[in-house]
Amino acid sequence: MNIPVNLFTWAMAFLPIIALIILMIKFHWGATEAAAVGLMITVVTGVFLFKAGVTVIAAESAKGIWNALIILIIVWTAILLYQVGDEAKAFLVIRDGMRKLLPNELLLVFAMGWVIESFLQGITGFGVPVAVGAPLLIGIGVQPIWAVIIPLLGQAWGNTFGTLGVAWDSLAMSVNLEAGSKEYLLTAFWTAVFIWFWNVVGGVVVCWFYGKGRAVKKGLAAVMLISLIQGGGQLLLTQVNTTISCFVPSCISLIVILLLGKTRMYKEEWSLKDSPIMNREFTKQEGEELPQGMTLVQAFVPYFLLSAITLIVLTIKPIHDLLGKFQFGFAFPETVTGYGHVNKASSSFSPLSPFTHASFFLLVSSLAGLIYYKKNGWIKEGGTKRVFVKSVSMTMPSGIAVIGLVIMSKIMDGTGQTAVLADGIAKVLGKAYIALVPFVGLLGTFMTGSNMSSNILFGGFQMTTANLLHVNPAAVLGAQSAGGSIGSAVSPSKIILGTTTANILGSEGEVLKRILMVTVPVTIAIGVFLFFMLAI
Amino acid sequence: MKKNDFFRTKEGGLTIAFLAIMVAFVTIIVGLNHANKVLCFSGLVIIIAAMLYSPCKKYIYDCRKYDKSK
Repeated sequence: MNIPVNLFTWAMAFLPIIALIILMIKFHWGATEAAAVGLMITVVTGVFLFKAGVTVIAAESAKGIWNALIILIIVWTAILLYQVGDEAKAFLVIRDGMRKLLPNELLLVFAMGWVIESFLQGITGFGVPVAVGAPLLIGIGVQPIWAVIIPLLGQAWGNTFGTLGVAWDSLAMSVNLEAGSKEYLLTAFWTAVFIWFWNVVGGVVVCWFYGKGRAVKKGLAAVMLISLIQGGGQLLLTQVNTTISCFVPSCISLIVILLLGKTRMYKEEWSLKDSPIMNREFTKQEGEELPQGMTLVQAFVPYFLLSAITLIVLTIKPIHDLLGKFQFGFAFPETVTGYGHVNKASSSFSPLSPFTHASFFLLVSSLAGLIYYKKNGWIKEGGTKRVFVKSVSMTMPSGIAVIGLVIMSKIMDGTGQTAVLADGIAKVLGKAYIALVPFVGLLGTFMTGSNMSSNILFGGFQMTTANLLHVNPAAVLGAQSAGGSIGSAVSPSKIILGTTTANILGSEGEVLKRILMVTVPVTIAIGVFLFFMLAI
Repeated sequence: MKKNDFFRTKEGGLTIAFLAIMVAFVTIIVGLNHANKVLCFSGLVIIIAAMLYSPCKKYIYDCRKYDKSK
């Protein structure tokens, strides 16, 4: 590769990213619109500055579409599962059922704002936990602004390995980590370590919000136990199967919090009358009709099904091998830019195994849940059509953004722009850059609204920079994804989802301000730790 | 919701853009397998047009419409 690395080529390679940042932060553009502009800039710089021909750009675009499609089928099926529950009003049953099971108000807030969000993030993600969590919390008396803040914090830890590992898979795909390899497991290990730290901090902060020191004292035992299950369990499972490493601990934590409500420490009625986040006057919104005869267990039926199908297919080897036999991918020829940057040929690029893919489990559970709810009369006439139309409507805006961002990232990689970016940063900042690694991940999620997109956008860049600086790329990629996970708490698109369902649209600035007080110090701590670990 | 109403919404427009991108994907794959630069170029043009739909509609078409209605 003979691409000249100087200030001009570096600035041009950085231009699509800086354009994305400016359009989204300064001009408040959505990711769907900003991604298109970023993509146009990448194509123009790729052709005119990095000497990429039509074939290079077209091949990288097609690779990008294929990778985006694999991600998008998870997004759509995850949203479909949520819409099935929403149409049957199952979330109202979950809210009322939990209130009866947990008499300790702090534990109830913790369960409704943290544990249920973790469970939903483990399966669905894409802002669904925030959209679902905010009205549930308002229903138990949490003030609307806090009802948005708490789920944002509660879901964030599960953004990398949640949604059956989609953001993690994107990272592995964009830096070519082979599943099960030593590098793959080491990267998963560091990612899970950093996320565990974030998980503990988040739990303590929720208690602090509820009633400062008194609430932390009361809730610390529960936070530590739940965090051990969620963060520690995830760390362990990343070494076995990354797809279920967030999902399984989230399910266990949901059961454990219900059992905690039966222990001596939490079984009595307990609350702080002067809690700054509570307003107990509006504990139940009017006009909400519960689905007749639906029990808490029945409300969870699609999720039980999902748990069972996922565990059976992923953990029973003969079934997994049989279903995994069918896979397909597209062949791509070798392409070369005018500067000699080579993209190797592939006979089957990123093959998809549809029957062992997370989207298959989500689709089967959604359809089975739909049939079950309909059979019991909880989904009314026209409900099925509404479920499908709403799921497509919710998927498309983020879908086009994902396609644009993945193509952009592929073209940057395929034309050598990512290599120039990483080379330039390594030469100028040297090892001091390491402290900024998690901030780059956070910035990526802030801009794009998803940990997955952040990993796609910056994964290759972080990997190349780590290699140029001769530092452990596993820890660097771990900090990238953990930063992205933290960033999901401040992502404007998720905040808007929360403020919309909490009916406080327009309060996004207030929410962001309070969450930044938590996310920035945690990101700094991870960056400093990484710097001391790798650079000193 | 009437049958055609969905495609008049933002989400409906984006669904059409998504379908166009799928067409572009197939066009490029065929072009690459037959070393046909014209097909590859056509696919690229479709992708660019589909991606530009949302910003053009939001910041040009809708803004002009709003200005005219003032």
